[in-house]
Amino acid sequence: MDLKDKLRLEIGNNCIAFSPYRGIMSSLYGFVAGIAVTAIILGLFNARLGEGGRILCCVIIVYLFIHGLYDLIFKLNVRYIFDGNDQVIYRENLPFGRRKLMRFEEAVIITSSESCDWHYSLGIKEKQFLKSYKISPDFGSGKASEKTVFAYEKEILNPIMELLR
Amino acid sequence: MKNFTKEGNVYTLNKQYGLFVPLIGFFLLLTILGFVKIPESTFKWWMLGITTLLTLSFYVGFLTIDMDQQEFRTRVSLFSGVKVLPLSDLEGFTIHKLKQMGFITTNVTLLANYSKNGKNKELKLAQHFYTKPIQSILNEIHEIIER
Repeated sequence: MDLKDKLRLEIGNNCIAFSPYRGIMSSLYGFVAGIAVTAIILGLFNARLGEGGRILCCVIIVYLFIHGLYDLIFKLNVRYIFDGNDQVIYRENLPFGRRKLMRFEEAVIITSSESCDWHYSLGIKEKQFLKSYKISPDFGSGKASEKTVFAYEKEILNPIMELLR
Repeated sequence: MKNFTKEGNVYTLNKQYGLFVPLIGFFLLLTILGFVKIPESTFKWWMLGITTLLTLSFYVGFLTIDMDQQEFRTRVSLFSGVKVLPLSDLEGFTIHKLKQMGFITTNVTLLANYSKNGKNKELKLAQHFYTKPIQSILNEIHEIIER
């Protein structure tokens, strides 16, 4: 899938909107698969697992479930809206509504890196290292990642920088 | 300016008491504890050594931004010399945060990025226990070098 379709990019009417976390869909499927496999193991090998094994399986299922649910509700559908008409940036998460983050002139974009992967972040000028918002998927260092970076910069980052000017 | 003292066109970073006082205080406490409670072990000498090294480091370390010579001058630790970074070589800044268990920040360092012989290098400018003082220092550095 194209990066701009995957992140649900919408450009038009002097606004840019996209959901940077949509990429975690595949990890959510992974969680469901993990839960299913662990449940099957728990069911089939119940006797042979022993007390410790059963507890481990339950802990794994509970952890995957809670993590998956958290990501589903609080991350998957987060949407950043750059409104060129009002010169304001909003953050929207469907069940919770839309919140104004900052004005265009306060916006600053930085790169952030965490144990090997890096991503673009949005922050308020002079406070960007206190609180910042992740606005891109994680990029690694391989060839496939380079393509994603290129696509992201071309489809999303450059239009945003143009709009913010 | 909160973090820098200006003399003509030379800006010096103020002594970072907020970083060193708790650190030196903590090791001083351990030193006293060592002398009083465990006099037979060598622990007290280690603590005394660390306290002394930290105190010396505190007095000897500095960061200066010289807008006449257009350069950064800094002495990072007791044993290193004075490092000079011309502003023209400066490529950007990095803030490095060390977090325990993923969310409790224990050390934040401000580094200047530059290239030497084609390699990317970093020069340590300041460090603290949490982000707010480092953000404040970086904001003032931007103000100084963009003037």
